[in-house]
Amino acid sequence: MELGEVKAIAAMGMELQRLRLKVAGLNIANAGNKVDPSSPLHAYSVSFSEQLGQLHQMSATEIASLKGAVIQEQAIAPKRLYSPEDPAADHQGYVLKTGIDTTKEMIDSVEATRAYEANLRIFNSALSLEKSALQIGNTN
Amino acid sequence: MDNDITLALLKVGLSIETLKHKTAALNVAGYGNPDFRPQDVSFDIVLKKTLTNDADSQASPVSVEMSSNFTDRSDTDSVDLDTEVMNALNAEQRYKALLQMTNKRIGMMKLAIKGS
Repeated sequence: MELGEVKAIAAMGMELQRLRLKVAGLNIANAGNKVDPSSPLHAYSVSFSEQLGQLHQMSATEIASLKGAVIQEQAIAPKRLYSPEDPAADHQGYVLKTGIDTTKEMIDSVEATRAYEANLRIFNSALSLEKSALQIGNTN
Repeated sequence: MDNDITLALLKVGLSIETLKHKTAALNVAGYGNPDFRPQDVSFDIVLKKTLTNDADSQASPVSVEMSSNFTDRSDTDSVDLDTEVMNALNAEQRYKALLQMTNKRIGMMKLAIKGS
């Protein structure tokens, strides 16, 4: 039942892209926040499961039960900005802010949206194929 | 059914298009995953001629067998989203064309059974 697998694969793809979008959103929300030097703020990233390389051998139910990716915390070096008037500044006048690159996160989120749409196209296409296959023998 | 070579070939054609569709789906789903290697699918199609001593046999002397396997694509290691979606839509169109031909074939059988 290859078409069922195609649908499961596309659904998995959509899930992965949704996670990427979520991670980009989380990172943008944290960008520019001040960081306490004792507990540096982490950035989030998506860690993909190794089993994703085996998707072509898996059945639809196996794909559906597979956890394709998880959100991971990742320590990143904070940015040091000179801002002596800031109440959080240290004795040298520097504030620590998260080292998240907003531009990169924005690009990631646009990319994830496009890839989500592509997966959705594939899903709809598989649905349409199934619909046509159900008409076999319906020759009037 | 199995002795109708037209239907057997159409079945193989439908399987090929489904596998191509699946390959495109795999590649689109792997987009953004740094460990993902784009996939390609290859087919082995064998037409078999069955030798039979039975001269009256109506069974088609030719049968068709197909096997397929997925391989990592060697020419590129990045996924081209629009190309993959296009491949999937192409496979969809060809699948539907093959379905129409299958329906025509079945229609011909019905005509032969029922008359006009």
